[in-house]
Amino acid sequence: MLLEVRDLRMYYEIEGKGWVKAVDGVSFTLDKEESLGIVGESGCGKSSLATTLIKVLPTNAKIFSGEILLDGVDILKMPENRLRREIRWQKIAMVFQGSMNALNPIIKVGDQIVEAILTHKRMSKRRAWKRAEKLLKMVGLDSSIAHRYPFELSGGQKQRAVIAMALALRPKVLIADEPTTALDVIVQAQILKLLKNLQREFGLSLIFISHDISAVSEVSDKVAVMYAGKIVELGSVEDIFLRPKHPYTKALLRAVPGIREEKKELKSIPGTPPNLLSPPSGCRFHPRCPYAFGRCREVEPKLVEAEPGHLVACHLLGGETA
Amino acid sequence: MARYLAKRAVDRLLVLFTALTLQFLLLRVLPYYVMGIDPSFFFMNPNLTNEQRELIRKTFGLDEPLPQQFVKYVLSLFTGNMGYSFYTRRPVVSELMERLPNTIILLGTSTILVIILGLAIGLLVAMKRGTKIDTAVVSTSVFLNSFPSFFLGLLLLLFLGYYFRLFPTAGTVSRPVPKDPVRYIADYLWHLTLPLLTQIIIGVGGYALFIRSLFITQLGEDYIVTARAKGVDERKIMTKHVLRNVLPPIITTIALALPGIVSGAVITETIFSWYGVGRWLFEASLQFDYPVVQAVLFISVVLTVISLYIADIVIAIVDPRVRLR
Repeated sequence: MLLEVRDLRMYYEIEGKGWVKAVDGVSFTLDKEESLGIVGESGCGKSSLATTLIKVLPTNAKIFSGEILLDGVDILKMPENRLRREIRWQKIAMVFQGSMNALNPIIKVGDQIVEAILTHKRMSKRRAWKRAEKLLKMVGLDSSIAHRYPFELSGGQKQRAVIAMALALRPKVLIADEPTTALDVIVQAQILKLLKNLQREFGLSLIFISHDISAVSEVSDKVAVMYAGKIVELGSVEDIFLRPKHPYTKALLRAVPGIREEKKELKSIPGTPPNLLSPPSGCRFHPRCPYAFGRCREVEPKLVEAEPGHLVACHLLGGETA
Repeated sequence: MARYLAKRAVDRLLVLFTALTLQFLLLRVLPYYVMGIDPSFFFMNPNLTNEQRELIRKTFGLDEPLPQQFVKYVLSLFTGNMGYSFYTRRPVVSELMERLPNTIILLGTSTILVIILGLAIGLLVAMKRGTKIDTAVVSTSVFLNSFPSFFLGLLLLLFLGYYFRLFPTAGTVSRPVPKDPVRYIADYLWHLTLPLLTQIIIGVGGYALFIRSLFITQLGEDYIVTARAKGVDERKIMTKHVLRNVLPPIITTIALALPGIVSGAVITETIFSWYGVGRWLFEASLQFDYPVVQAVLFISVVLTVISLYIADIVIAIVDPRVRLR
């Protein structure tokens, strides 16, 4: 097992109001060269999970419990300095939403890649630049892009540059947080293809985070569905998309139009995602769930194996009611 | 970059000429032709005969047609001929030179201290965002920023000047003026304390708040998170990523504050009877002494335009988005 996350809890403190339970008891595993997709509505904690995995958090965030085992070593127990030098980017790199502001607007693209290299490797600036140019070529960009500023590039070019930067140190795990959001469909497809190819080529383990279910289904082997800071269903792509078990997953799939399917009615999920300052008791989805019954309001369902490799957190599948 | 700077130069010159025209309209056309006030009446003895009045008006060039006056006014301002005060009949330039050192000392010191203190405090609380220190500094700053300077000045005068008699209540030096240069400097600094304190207290709150929000916005940007994720250490993030992005707005605020070092602080100088340019401007406005008013306004407009243009150049060097567009 390359990466194992156990019972991870990360809350944000809001002064005078309490804690926002953005990541609340999340567990999953990731094998070498495996790709895990994480889907959920905005505000469900998926981006918070990503930044918790490399412990790059704002000052009001606190990790309350959990372990992040990378090759068996808990990186949460590492001193900050070691984590910074040995883990970040070196072992776990991130691709942020590059079309937005992931690159510093006033520093040349090449300089930003070189910065990533020289933070971890001892080499001459010239060699680092050569490497940056090579990385840019690898993601399908012209090496001259290195000498340009981010504001001179298109959204797709920026996203490719961000990916090139993430690969600079040949990390083991690549976390891609909404890498295709805010790009047009054609560019989205290109970026997804690029990510898939690079994953194969580099033997990367990929964590792909998106609210876009179809994008997740393209690149992932396994999918975790997140709701209100928790994973509610986890399984293979086929499990999740063809045999969903959790009412939330089912509702989420019904809310997405399929291009080859016949016209069907799109059903949005009634209600709004809960306020994570004071999430609902019991199952967090129960106020919006059409199948909710007494137990759902009182007892929080555990993530249990419904079928081999297919985990669901729902009382409907629990022993007593199934 | 050259094209950008040329365009900016044209913009700035336009501002200068608009300001000059407005000044002329406000000071010379509006009072006389619209409100029916002839500024020259204020300094002429009412017992003078009409002939004598005309003679005086003629010596000041007030009998000429307006367009001619305007051209003369612009030309003389740019050649450094600021005319004569209606009130003291002395050249405006020589009066200005008497007051300028006092204003430069007061405003120069306070402006530099406000910027340094504001930067330090703002940066500190931006890093300690959400803590008790932050809350305390923010609420104090909001309070100070909204506190009127005339009221603060009066409070300081009343308590430190009148009740406790720690500081003088008026003037720039004691009378008689101390002869020993060391004692003169000490006496001058003693007089400087209260107005300087007023200027700093009034200015620093707002500037610290500005710096704080500037840094907080920057530190929350995605590329800062990216830099952290890359493993770049905090010091380098500050110097390489944050500082260069916050520099342009800081340069602009400094550029806007600099002309004040010469044009003075009207309220503070008046309250503390500081022999400076700001108080002069205030008194001259009350007396319709418009050669003085227009000279001071002209200098502050010219300095503002120059100072902003220098800011344009510096920002173009720092920020490629400006330079390359």
